[in-house]
Amino acid sequence: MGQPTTVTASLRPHEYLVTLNGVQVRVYCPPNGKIEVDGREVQAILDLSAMGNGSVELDGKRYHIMLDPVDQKGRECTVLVNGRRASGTLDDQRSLLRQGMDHAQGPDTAPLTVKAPMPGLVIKILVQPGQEVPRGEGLLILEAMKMENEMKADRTGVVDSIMVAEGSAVEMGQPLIRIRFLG
Amino acid sequence: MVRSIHSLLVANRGEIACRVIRTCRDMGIESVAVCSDVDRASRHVQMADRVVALGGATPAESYLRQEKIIEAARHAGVDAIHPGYGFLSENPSFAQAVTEADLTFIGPSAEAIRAMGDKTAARKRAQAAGVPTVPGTIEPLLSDDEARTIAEHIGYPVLLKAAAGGGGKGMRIVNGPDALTSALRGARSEAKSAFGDDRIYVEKYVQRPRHIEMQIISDGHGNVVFLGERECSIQRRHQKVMEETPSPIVTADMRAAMGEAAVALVKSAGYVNAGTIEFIVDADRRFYFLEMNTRLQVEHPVTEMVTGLDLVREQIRVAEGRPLSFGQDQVVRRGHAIECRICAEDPANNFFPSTGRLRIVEWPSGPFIRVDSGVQAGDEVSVFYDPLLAKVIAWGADRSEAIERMDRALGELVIAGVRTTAPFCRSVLRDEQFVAGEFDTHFVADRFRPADLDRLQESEVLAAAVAVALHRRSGSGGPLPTREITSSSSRWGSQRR
Repeated sequence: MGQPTTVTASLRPHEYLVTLNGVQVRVYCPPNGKIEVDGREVQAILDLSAMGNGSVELDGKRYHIMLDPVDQKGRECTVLVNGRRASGTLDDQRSLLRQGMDHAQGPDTAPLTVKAPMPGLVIKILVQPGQEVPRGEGLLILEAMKMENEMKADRTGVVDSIMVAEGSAVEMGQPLIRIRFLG
Repeated sequence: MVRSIHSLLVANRGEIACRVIRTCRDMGIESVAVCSDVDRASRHVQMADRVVALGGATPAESYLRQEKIIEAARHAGVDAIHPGYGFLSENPSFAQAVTEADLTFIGPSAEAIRAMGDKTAARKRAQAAGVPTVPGTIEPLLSDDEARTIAEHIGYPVLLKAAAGGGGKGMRIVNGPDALTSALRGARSEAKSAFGDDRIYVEKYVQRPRHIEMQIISDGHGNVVFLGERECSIQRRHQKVMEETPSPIVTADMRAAMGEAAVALVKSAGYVNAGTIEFIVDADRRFYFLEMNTRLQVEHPVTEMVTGLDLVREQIRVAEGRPLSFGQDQVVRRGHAIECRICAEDPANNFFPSTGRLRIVEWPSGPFIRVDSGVQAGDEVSVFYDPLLAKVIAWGADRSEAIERMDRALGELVIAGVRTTAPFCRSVLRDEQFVAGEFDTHFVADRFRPADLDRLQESEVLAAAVAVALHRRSGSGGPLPTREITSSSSRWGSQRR
């Protein structure tokens, strides 16, 4: 078993978690602010036609981009970069919350800390330490952005510890529950 | 007797119809298109001077209806019909019907199509003309014992082929005598169920074969000229996808030998007009006659690019009864040309047809690039017709320059709405064995890894992620970063590895 991994995939407003061809990239693009890619400040400019054909310039280097609007459905996204296909998902704060769980994960058997994807209020805790939870089981309910969101187990495991209490306010990224996985 | 052509009906669609119409315009010949109902707004219809609607959606209801097409020609009052390739181009009864309607068929006579179209008859004629054929039987096998004797004589591995064959059905590769009996049984039953005919041939199986063909043009005055070979070994599903001339393995002596063999065969058949003799070439560069295509080929532009000849123009002139304006000594080949077929297929999924509406179509252009296309943005790519959308042809002073230009051109190509063979073609252009000219018809199976198509460099993944994120934010009302006065590298410059 590996060490408990601390996963930091909670998203700020205007921050996106993009998974393309299996690679995760975090892109932070605040209005009128500096764009960050995986925490590193970059220069980025996107020029697309109405049909989605154009280019992106990243740190002075240009890439041909085709972002066909038809290919972007909900979280699903597909983009051609220099003629090659990259497809996967795009998550923001809200969609990540809907996914119910932090998406960034360590190796399959590493314990995983479920974190608050955004600031909110813990309404109800649905599990107890030591409890075995099948994949998809609700873990707790977090009220955020005026919605109740059920955080779910991403994989089957055992609840290792619960770090918050019902009724407590949590900050974005604050650890909520740690789950051990059955290797 | 010269019978001038002033107007011509093109009995085809797509890129080849457009290509024929262009030469008509160059020659001052009025062009008439035909179309099915689903093609009424398509490119070839827009390009032609006039159009006659055939009705129907499927080829069987439209472009394959001989009587409708001849009626259209009569109605339009044209002098001639050009069949293009596919559809009715190699149908002797159509060629005959056109002639009987007192129209000029731009192609060989019905007799010549019959003589060369039947594979057995063509092989016999080739042997009689002294053209090498793959060792084996010409007549179907009479017994298993005969098969055994012949296989021992020509040497294993041998190939069993259905007499009525096609599409690989009833075909078996036999590596040794132990496997012969069961292979014969399997081939016979497969041929019986596929063609209702269980007759089988046996011939030497050519290992690591290359497919190389020879273009000829023949007039009705006894002049037959060969225009050089085309290398067509890059195939998927037994169909060509990239062609080039010259072949990386053909020397001047070999070209002359292949050309003379092709000319001998064409003369013996009394064949007039453009045609192509296909050869299979073994690892020792021995060539064997395979079959003849009695029409213009898809890949004819590579020959045009190195010879400076317009083959459709030559076809029309020959059909008018004019002698060729050049002899063998005047054929000058210069440089190297490559063609990539841009087909609506998904190379990542076994080249499965990809259908849909074309939303963006941007063709490459620029120095030494030719694009023969038959579609435009807004077109629906359906399962009714051939998936060939366009052909991109690049010329270079030598092979490596042609490869570089083709790679540049394919980098400019943008098609949204369907998947295409373009990324596959680029991966071939960058394959070291292709670049070295060392490949055969097994190239796709041996070298092509679909997973490599979408293997991105790290910086490309980051760029794509940024594009997706910025696009999403702009979609939700957020402002896009604006361009200040910046200098930036070329949009296309980053594409080469």
